Amino acid sequence: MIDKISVSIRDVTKIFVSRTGETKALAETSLHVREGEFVSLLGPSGCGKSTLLRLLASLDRPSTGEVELTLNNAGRSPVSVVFQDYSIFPWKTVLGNVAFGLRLAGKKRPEAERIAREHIVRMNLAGFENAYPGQLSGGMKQRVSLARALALDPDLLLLDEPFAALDPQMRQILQEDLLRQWENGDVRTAISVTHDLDEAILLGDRVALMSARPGRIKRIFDVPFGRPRSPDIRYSQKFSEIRQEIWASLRDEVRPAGPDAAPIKHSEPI
Amino acid sequence: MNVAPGSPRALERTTRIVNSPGQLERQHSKLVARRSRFRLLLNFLIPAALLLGWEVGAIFGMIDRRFFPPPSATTIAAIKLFANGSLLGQIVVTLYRVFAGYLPGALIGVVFGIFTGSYWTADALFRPVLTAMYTVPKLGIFPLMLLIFGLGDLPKIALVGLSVFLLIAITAHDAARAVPSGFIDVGRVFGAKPHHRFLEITLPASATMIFSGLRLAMGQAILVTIATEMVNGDDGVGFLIWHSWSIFEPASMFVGIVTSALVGVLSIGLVTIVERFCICWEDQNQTKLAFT
Ligand SMILES: Nc1ncnc2c1ncn2[C@@H]1O[C@H](COP(=O)(O)OP(=O)(O)OP(=O)(O)O)[C@@H](O)[C@H]1O
Ligand SMILES: [Mg+2]
Repeated sequence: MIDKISVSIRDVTKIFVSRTGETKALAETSLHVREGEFVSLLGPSGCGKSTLLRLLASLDRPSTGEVELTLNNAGRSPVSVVFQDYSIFPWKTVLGNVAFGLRLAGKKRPEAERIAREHIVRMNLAGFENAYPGQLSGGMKQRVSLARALALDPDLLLLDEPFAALDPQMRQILQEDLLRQWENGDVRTAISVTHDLDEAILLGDRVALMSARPGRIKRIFDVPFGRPRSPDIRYSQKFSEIRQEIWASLRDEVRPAGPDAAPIKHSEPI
Repeated sequence: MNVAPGSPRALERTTRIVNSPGQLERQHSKLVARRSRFRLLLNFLIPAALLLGWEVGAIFGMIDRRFFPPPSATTIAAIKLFANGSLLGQIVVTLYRVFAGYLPGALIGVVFGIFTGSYWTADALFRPVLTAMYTVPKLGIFPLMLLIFGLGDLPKIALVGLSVFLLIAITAHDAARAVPSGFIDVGRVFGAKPHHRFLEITLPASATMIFSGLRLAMGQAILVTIATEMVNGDDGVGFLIWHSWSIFEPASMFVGIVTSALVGVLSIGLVTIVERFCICWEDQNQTKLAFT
């Protein structure tokens, strides 16, 4: 089978102009994502990952270059996004939030709510259908945001640090949930921003590493695991080898530059 | 902890800190009920003290009761006016004018304000006009209303509606602009049409601020109604106040003043009740009182 390209980012730059001056958030960035592929986007804080994702979601326009999405309309909607700060509506119940995208996609209310309920159960939120976000914990809110995006069964799913605000146990569980749902074909193509190396490798077919601001794709790593994969690959030798390799490359970007920033010798970070 | 050396406490090895349910936790509903009763008492404390002082001052001749009839005299006048049916009639007429102007003015104001606050072109087009009209004293254009709408209720209702509309349009405009862009982004990602954006995002996101405008506008609606009744026509609470003054019956004048204050408190309380009903997602545990 010939791989179809579903996302093409070609020489995209993004410059933010404000009263205080210009910020170059993205330098010439190119990336091509195959249909059905999961790409993890890794990079130091402020390198433009969120900016790139907003360009993919058409929430912003590039300064130069172009982003092209070729989606095959296999899902219920073309693109959906899980936002870094979840952005679920305080004035809607859990059910109302999850059904929101479905209703806007043209589903009648009963149908939208039926699908929403399914995803609420999958996200372990059963019993909280009628609760307002104000009554939920941070992890629960994040799961609502995830359910809202997944319920749409998008051709392209964009995730901006979806698990960053969670405790490590919850994060691990949700990573495994997402892995399972993605491999079950609910999500077709996905690009996920993360700071978590393990998450990037566990979920991704490839890991794209960005350089410090202004960001560009510095290197792309192929993840040497097939699908479906078990969450237990985390404990394998191959996993820690690729992890080490990615970290070695990322470390140079994360470390502050300058004469004082003497290299620190330690083999395994975090 | 500071413990003097040599004291018995210093000899103890450990410090024991216990945190157990306090009174609020053990008797929550009882305390809440008691607190809201106390609150009600506090609400009436200052008015009661003022009225009592006035009454006592009048008894001892420190206040001239011909010009400033004491509360007792005002109460008697109120009972008389109430008994012959005229007070209730005036209140009904005034309330009719207030709400006939307020409801359409507020409704159009909310929709229009959110519209101008959501699109920069609408903002550029309408904001200067709205701001300019808002600063014109409303009573100053009452003659204009009389010219346009003739005599009767309509010019008064129109002026109330206009005042409410302007205030609410400006509040809703600012409220819509203050909606966090993240919420708008969610709408865009999920393909919200303009009516979705309005009904499901901007309106609820700006509701709290709009309701504070709705309360202020209710006060202004009453103020404008009573003022127009003073200068034109022969009914309403405003007419009662002005007419009593011109035939020198200060007691009924005070009845009119107190009545307008009560109408104001109750109407604004009504807005707060509607707000609690509409903004159901916010924590309602705090006992907010309707009339504040
Ligand atoms: N709306 C904006 N206006 C001006 N500058 C912006 C804007 N959005 C982002 N930037 C700048 O662009 C750069 C990249 O921001 P971005 O949010 O994409 O980083 P990020 O890689 O997602 O970081 P993090 O990992 O901390 O979320 C930053 O320097 C930021 O200050
Ligand atoms: Mg970010």
